[in-house]
Amino acid sequence: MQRAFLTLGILFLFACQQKVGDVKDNNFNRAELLAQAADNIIMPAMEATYMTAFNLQNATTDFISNPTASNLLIAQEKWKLMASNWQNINMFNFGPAGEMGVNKSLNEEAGTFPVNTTKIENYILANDTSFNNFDRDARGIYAIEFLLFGLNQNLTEITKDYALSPFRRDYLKACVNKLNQQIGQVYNAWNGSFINEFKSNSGTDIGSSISSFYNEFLKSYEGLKNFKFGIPLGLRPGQTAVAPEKVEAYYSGYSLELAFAHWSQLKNIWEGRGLNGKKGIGFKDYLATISGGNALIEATEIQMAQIDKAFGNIPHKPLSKNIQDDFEKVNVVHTELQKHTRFFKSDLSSLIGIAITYSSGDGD
Amino acid sequence: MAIKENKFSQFLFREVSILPLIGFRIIFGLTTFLSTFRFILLDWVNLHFVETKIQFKYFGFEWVPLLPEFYMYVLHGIMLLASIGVFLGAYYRIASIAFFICFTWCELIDITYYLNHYYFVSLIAFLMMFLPANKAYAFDAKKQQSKSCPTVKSYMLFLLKFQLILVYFYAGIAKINYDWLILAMPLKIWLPANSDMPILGSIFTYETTAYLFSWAGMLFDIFVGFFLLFSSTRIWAWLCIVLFHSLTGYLFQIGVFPLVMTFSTLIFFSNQFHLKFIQFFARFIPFFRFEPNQERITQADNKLFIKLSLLIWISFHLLFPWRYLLYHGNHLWTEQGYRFGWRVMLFEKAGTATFYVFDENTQREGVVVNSDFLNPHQEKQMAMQPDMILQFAQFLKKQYEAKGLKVNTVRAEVYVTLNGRPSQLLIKPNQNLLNLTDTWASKSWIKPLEN
Repeated sequence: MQRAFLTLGILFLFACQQKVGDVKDNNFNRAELLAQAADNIIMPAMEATYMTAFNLQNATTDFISNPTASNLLIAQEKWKLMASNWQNINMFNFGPAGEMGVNKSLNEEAGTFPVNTTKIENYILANDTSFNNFDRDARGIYAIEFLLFGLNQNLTEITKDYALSPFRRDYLKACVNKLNQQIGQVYNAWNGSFINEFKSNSGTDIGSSISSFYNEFLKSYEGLKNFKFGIPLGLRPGQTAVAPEKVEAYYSGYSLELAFAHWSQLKNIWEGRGLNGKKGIGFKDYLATISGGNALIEATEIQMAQIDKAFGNIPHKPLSKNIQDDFEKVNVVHTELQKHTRFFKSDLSSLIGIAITYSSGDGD
Repeated sequence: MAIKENKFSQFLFREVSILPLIGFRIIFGLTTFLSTFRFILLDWVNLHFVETKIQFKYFGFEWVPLLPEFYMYVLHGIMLLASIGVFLGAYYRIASIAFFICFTWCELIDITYYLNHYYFVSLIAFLMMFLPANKAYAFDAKKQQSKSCPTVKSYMLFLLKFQLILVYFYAGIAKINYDWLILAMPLKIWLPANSDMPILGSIFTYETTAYLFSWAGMLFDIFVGFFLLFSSTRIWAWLCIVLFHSLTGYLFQIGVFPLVMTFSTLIFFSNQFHLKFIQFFARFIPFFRFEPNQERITQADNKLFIKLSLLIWISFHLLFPWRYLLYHGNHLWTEQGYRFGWRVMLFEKAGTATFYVFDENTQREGVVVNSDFLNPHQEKQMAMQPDMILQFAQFLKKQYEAKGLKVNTVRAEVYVTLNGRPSQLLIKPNQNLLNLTDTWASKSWIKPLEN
């Protein structure tokens, strides 16, 4: 019996010490993935979004001081640029963009839609620009959109509203300033100490960079599927009809472009591709180093191609219109996204061993 | 009338020193205190019991109620006090009973949080209610000196040791399966995920390491409990335990379990060891210095009753983990008879479950967003466990009927990946889950695991 015990001990020690002459079967460098994600993907996207938010601020300032149709048009274009850049960062909703104290995450603070136009008009009427409330559906990117694009109004009509109402000007200005301040705060934090913190926290437990990065990536994916397609298509239990007015960017009619930009950025992260097209290291490369990973990569990319195809088949007009005229074509995107969920959700996280919850696992 | 007792009976009722039991009491009190304190500190009372919209019930224990927020904190407060009571041997009977009830109550509220080690703590807490662990080196013993006693019956220590060996042994037996030994799964996934660990991390990326750890882990679990029994191997076995639990505790998110096992196994150590252990605490706790009344002889036992109880208890614990053999399919996949079997950290499994609710009123089928109703942990556990899937379907029916829908059909598309296999359907996606009920019977609606 002692001998068996000794063998056991030696085996264990051997397990702890063997090193020589072995093939490295899994030598993925998580720190490298994090560094590339930060330098190649996150920082450029943050900077671009910050710049477009700044440009939007300038354009609205011009419009407010001089409310003309041409100035409005410029502001609208700047909003579109800002909103499409937002699609490149809404999945980095952790660290400085995560929930802090009384503040919700950046995604909730700035990216809530659909907005509540009644609330917006009420705050304008009351000239309340304090944002001292929990009505996140009355501010942020999509409130600014409503304020700049109006509902079924042409440029002249919208411009007239601003010329007549100083309160409206104040509210638009306050919303844009708030957005700039929030995005600037996150961008500056990344630019400061957070980038190194992100790169160095290379474990896989909850709170590690890869865990936050992955979990928010997944949340963003689910957000695309559920909020940009599921709800407007009327697919939730209890919905009795389509709800085209609940698409993202309903007022600008820019919903299809934005949804596709969102999907494209998720694909970029999967591949580790930066905005400039430079290929870095993504979840895909991580998977390739794990046994069973290549089968998953193949299955994932086959399904991704289906989603691309479904997007390609949607006529080039706002999703809200398509949902009414061409329901099935939009529905197919949702169906394909739904089929894809398991690849990003359970299969990927299971293979690369990322923690999803804080709770303890079954001990050994 | 003297009936000649057989050897085993003599062994069971032999008078042995109370010291190991006292040492065990101290450790049990301290670790459960720590565990409860940590639970509260991490805000888990809130996350598990307050901010939840649904509780997944244990089969047969559906009646265990969730209490309002305040009372859930009261339960945990009582647990803290009770564990201190056990530690000090103060008002021990009440403390041990209170601890068992409160702890088991909290465990039985939601199956999401089932852990083998919570089951272990519940079982030990149950046994502790009956053991005279306050008869020496305790507040109670000092208070009632005449009732103090230096010895206990041998079966009392035997039972606790049995329970400990059982955990290791069955955890080892469970590792004898194709995935663990031949595929080195899940360690092939788990070890590389920890490649940033200092020193050892660099070898976790070798596939050979996963095989060595898998086999060593299996052998360790099977044998270590028995090596604790012999004085010549004891210290080495325990050092292995320390090494093993330190490593797994570092690698995996498994809470206080490594601590509980590492220190509980000290019960196998000698009387002298426990005397020193107690004396250490006696430096801060005066009544631990108090020697028990040496002359007192323990009461005569109802030996037949005790032997019968032991027989039932031990048979149950030896047999219950094997019930999975009565069910069809791979138990790692179906999880039929999986729980309460000391299958610890045995697989890597994850699922994506999409529920569809059909409204008779509008004849529309809607897609459920699970996170609307479940916290991340519940969502994760539910998506791979058939009994939880049934419960969630019933919950959805109620939830949506309250909103005015008429629901007779809930189905789910559930894809599960087990040990790195490509995910596959767990149940038939067209199966109306509302037509099914959870029973002891085999769940024929679970699809078999392919390859």
